[in-house]
Amino acid sequence: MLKGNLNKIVLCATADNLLAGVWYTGKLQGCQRFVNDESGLAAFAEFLQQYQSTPVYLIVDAVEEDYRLESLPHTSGAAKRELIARKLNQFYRGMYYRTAHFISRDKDKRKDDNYLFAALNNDEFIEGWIAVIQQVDAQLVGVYLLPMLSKLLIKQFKLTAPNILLCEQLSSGLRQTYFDNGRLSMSRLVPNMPDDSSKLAYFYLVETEKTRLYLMSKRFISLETRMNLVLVSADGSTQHISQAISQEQGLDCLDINTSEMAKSLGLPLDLVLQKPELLHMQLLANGNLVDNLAPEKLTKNFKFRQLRQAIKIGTVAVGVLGVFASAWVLVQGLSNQTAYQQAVQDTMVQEYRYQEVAKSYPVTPISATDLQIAVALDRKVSTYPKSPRRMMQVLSAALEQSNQGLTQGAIQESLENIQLDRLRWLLSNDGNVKDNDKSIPVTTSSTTNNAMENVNLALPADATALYEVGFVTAEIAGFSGDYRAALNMVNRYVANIKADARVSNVEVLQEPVNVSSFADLQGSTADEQSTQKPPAYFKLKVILKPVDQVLANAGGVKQP
Amino acid sequence: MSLEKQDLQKLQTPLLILAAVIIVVISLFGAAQYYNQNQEVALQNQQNLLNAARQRNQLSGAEKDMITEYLPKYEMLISRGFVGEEQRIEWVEHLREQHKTQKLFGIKYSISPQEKYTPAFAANLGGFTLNRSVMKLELDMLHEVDLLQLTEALSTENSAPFILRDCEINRLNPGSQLSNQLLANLHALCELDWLTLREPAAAQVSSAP
Repeated sequence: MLKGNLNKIVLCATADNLLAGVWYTGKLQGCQRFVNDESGLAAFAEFLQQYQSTPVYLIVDAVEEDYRLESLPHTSGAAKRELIARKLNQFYRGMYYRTAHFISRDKDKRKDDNYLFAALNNDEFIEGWIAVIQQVDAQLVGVYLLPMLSKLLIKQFKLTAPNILLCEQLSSGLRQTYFDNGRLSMSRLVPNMPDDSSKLAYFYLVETEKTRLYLMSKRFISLETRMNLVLVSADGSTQHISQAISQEQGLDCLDINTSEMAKSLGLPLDLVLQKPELLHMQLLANGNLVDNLAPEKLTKNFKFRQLRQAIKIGTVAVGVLGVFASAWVLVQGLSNQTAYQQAVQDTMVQEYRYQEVAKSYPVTPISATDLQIAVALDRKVSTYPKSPRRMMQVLSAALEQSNQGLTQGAIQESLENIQLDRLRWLLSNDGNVKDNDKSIPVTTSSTTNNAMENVNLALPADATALYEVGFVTAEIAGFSGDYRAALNMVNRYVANIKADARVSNVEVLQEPVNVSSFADLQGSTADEQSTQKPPAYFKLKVILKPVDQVLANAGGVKQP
Repeated sequence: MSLEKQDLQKLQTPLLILAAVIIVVISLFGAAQYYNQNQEVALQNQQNLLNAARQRNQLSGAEKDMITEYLPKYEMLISRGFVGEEQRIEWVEHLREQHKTQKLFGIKYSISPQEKYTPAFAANLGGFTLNRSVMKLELDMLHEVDLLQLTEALSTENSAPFILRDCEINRLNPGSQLSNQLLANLHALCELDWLTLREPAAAQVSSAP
């Protein structure tokens, strides 16, 4: 299979014979000519039998060929394929070997695509060869026109003149190919070359003039177009012709000797002299593919084989890559296992060393860290207050502070009438903890009470700290119905509490009277004279700072 | 290139082989990957153990110092009843003793069953389990100081630690002045958490006779 891929068979069919060359890795191994008759076909079949898996390239060098330059609207994809197919059918209806070669795209106007449509007008002379190829199930890659390969020669010789008429002396005759700015436009084959070399110059001149007139009729060139005539030969035999045409007709004439090129391509010079088309075959064998004229039906065998080979190569590639990748991962795994075993041993060594050292430790049922944790927890718990003493001190101090330094007249407004009825003390890390006191009579609208109680208190975000929270329910003793005085009294009491450095926050949950516009307010102006005076309750929420915080600030009250 | 039915039949074998190779390769790679991942995880775990062992070895001197410093304190905690079983009898006796000493009115108490306790202030308990038993105290008082003296007296150096969590003091006769007679003026209801630590299971087994 591999050898089949490296081998190539390049055929060159003319009207009366077929030249077959075998190339291996781009090197010509041998060539053979088959006459286009029954015996030649049989010999060709026998020849092909030996190379069943080798790709076959067929070059056609015939008189019956046609070239047309045409501009098409720029399209792409399926539209492009359909347009080209339609044009091919229009130009070459019923012809089997045809193709469209993209030349260039216009740079102005509609930016049309320029194509060269080419076809074999008469394919009878290759029918036999094609039949043999199909019969032996050979791998036909494509059918190519020889002038298309001549274009490669122009590139090889680095000819850049805008109007080149390439004249090649082939086994089949003289081939003249016209290149417009390096692009193939037309080619013609003159089969009957004179045997007398003295008549060659005249022959060349006549045929060149014919070609020139044809090109002018097709408007490829004008009368004033200066054409460069390039004569190609392997032995320099066209040198004198070139000189003669150049001197007598005043045409720009260039003679090119292909012997150097043949040598560089590894072709024997004597073979090239006998079969000049070997040069074109060599170019094809080197992988320089041009447009294929053969329909898909003829090349399907080769393409199908390529597909099968691609699948096989893909299978091998997937298998090899997969095995290598798996092996690489496995090696990583084994390396990890080795490292794991080493780590197990190292751990055992470390543990043994630790056990040796630990023998000198005091005997302990638990780890040193756990010992430390237990002691630390005990210390932590011991810092928490063991009674509501601090809260009571704060509330009491706020009451006493107001009575100090008051005159006898102002004593009436002092806080000595405030009587604490209930204290709920909590140790909590939640500043928004609520009291469930139901003992207090509801004297105000629940709307306002709830609004007060739902006030969120922002305490430092330390979930581990426990705060002392106090809910104080108190009343104003001997309340005479003077709500303004009662409110003032409560506000002063609250202000006194707030002034204490130990207090973090204080808020009034319920006032003696609710003066909100949204609440009911009832009473009697005769309350002062009444023996049955209404109670004036209020409720506070007090939060103290943690002891350690107070101590850090001012060295406050010592907590038992 | 358009493929016909017979072409597809010709391609069937190579395609089947390709599919089989892909399946085998995926299986092989998957198995190798699984093995490698397992080894990687095992290696990572073992490396962590090794690092821990190395660190413990390096810090063995500090550990010895720590044990020397904290072991006596820890033993003290055991004797106080903070570590180990609850000493409910001691608590009640202590309460009775305070009742007599402080000359209080009667104290009603109730202790709820022990439960696991995970407070925010004790996030790291090492191998310990923290338990609490909620004790409710209810008493009438002549003066509020009675309550302060009682709860503060419960917390001594030799007693198990507790957290006084909630106390509610109510005036028995709201609106009236405190009586000078030997009558209860106030009523208190308190809740406190007796805390006990349970040692790690391994330590309990090793310390068992």
